[in-house]
Amino acid sequence: MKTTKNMLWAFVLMIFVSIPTMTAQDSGALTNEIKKEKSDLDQEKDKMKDKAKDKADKEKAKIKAKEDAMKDVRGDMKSDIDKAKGDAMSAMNDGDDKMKILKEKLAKAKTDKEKQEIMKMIEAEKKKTTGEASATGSATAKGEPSTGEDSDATTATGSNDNNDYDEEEGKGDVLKGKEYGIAKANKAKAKVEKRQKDLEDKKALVKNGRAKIAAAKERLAAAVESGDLSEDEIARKQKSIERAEASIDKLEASITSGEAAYSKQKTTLTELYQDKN
Amino acid sequence: MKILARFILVFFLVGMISCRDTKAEEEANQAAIEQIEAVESEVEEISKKIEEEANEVENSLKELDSI
Repeated sequence: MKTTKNMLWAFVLMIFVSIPTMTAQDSGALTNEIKKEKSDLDQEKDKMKDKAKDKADKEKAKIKAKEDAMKDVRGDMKSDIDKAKGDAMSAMNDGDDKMKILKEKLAKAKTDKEKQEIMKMIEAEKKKTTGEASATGSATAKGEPSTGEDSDATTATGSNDNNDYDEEEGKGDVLKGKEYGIAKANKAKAKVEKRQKDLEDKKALVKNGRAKIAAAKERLAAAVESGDLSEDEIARKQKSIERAEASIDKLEASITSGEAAYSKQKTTLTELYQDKN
Repeated sequence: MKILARFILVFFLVGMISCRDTKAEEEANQAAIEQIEAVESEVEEISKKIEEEANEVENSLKELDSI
């Protein structure tokens, strides 16, 4: 009985011993499989990495090539801009000496008339300098000539709340007080003169218009005499002639009143600082 | 002491006068600038009106070409 008991215990013990061993064997096989799969995955991963790296290298090479091309273009542009700047600076330097002399004269001037004349000279010099600079700059950089209005826009800023007048933009020199007023008056006067010149074109338009109306009237009379036109057509054409005549009369009246107003304004601007001597 | 008092008085008076002058000049200048700006805006208005009327004339003259 005791032997049987011992045998049973031995059997149970064997079972207990064998189970972990079997489990270990099973787990060993699993581990091997996992390891194999892992190694496969690692290999695939490495392959993918290599591919990605190759792709990234290719992309980098492309970007670098593009950057180099851009650098070349930038270099060309920079050299062009530097050249334009150099030209502009030389033009500005030439003008600077003249401006200094004129400023000294302005400081020494006693009467307002003298000051106004010197201011005119300064304005002319300034326009010349900025015109040259912008012409060289834009011509070299863009290949386009500059206009006089551009230089006006850069040299004189009328709407300034502090009553400072930008004498030379970028240099920090500003006109103040009376000098600013004189410069502004001169600018306004130049504008009025320009408008007066524009009126001449409008006068020419009136003259041409009158001639056209006369010719149209003659043509209409001839057509009426020949009887080619119906009454409606005649009335319509007569009406358009009358409309043209009315608009020309209106324009002529505006030109006349405009001329008077311009000359009055010019006188006002001229006398504005003369009265205050 | 008397000299010092006189000196201060003169200095004070000069200061007062110079301040008043500057202010008057500034006011006059401001008025002149306002006048200039008014003239400029009037010029612009007149030229705009004339320009519009000239366009009107050009359009009406185009109609005459068909006559």
